[in-house]
Amino acid sequence: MVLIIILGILFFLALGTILYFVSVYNGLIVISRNIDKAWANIDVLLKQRYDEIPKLLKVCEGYMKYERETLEKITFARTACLQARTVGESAQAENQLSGALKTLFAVAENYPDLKANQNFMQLQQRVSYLESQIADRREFYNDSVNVYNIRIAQIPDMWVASMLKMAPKEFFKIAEEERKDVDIKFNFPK
Amino acid sequence: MIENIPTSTIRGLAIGLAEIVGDAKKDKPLKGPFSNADCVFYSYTVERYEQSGRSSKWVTIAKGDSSYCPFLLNDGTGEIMVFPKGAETFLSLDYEFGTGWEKPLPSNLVEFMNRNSIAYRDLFGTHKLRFKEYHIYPGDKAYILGTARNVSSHMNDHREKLRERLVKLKKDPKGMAEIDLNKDGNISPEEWDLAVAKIETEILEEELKSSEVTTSSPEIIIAKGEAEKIFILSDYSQKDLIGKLLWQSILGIYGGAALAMVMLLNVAYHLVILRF
Repeated sequence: MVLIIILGILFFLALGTILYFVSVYNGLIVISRNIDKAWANIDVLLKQRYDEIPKLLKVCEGYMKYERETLEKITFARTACLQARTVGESAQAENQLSGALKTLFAVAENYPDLKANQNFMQLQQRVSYLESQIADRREFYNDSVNVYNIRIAQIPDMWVASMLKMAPKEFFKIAEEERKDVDIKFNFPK
Repeated sequence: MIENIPTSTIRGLAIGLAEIVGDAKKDKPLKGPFSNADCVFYSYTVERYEQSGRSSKWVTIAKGDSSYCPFLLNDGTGEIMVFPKGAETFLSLDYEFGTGWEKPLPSNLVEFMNRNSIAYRDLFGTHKLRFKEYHIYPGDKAYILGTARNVSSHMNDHREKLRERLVKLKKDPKGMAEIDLNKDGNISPEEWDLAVAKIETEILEEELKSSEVTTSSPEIIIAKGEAEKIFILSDYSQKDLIGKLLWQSILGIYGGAALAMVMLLNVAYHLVILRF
């Protein structure tokens, strides 16, 4: 009788432990996939923004002939974004592009004809809205990475994570320059 | 699951399982069926006290909610329509009334019982009943874990469609007779609200169906997903909700384990008896 009870207890303990580790494993897989999905969701918006930039530049070119440097910076940053392969590279290129766009919109304030242009207004609104959406999704991505990084550093998840060789993931960091106000220089001929 | 999914902003919401928190609102608030309070969502239960021999218990004899009626959620970055059909709700109790000694059934509850053809009295008097109502009030912070889904651009015409169908209904004597539930020849505000909610559901379901074939100008709503079965609607904060669910799961796990042990001991006891 006692033997049966002990065996029963051991059986339930073993079963409980196995089920617990299976649930930890499944949980980590779900969180990891959520990060991939969060990144893919940022990527969708980034691509939409890349598509809008050439149109924006086309509209600006006619009015801002003295701001060639600003427009070139955007083209250069956009190309860098398209060539980025890792989260780190993307983050760096994105920060450059966001900074260049901020400068463009700030400089555009000094061109009343451009500001009054219907196409420019629409494109500016669209790009600004996409920028806000990207910022929101970047925050969501970082929150997802944070949840994952904390989980794989905690016991007992870290045992399962080390068995699966799960490494901490990279945050989508905002560069220091992004936090600063845009430094505007107008290039009007003297 | 709740802890593992970060909260999304409505502006940055992507298709799929998402957690959002925002202020609930509705252009034309609903009325709580017992309290008559303005709300964007309600659920209710009617329970009857039943005694059989030495045991007694409360038995649910009627329950319902406004899951057929969508509402809006605003988190400061944007607004989204929530279609609560199929949601598991965790709401705080807002109204409770029990019949008893010198506590007869108020007229609005009598009317509710009659309208829904629920027996509330017998030869010996009124049954011992308990009425409970749970709300999300306009402006309440609501927590939602559900699926963000596309609907067609026709969603923008949602109100226009609703208006057109209501105008059509008003001109249709047969349709008007159908919504006169108590057949007294008059459409009460409650009967009209029910008809509006029913039409709104039909329109939304049509829009949800049409989203499967169209991809132009997508609009997003929160509803129960087809792949993701989880859909939670609550007026508790995320922290309180996790605490509440944690206790439920602890009770479930340890209760289940204890029950299994008792069953095992019972089997072992009978085996020993049979052997000797």
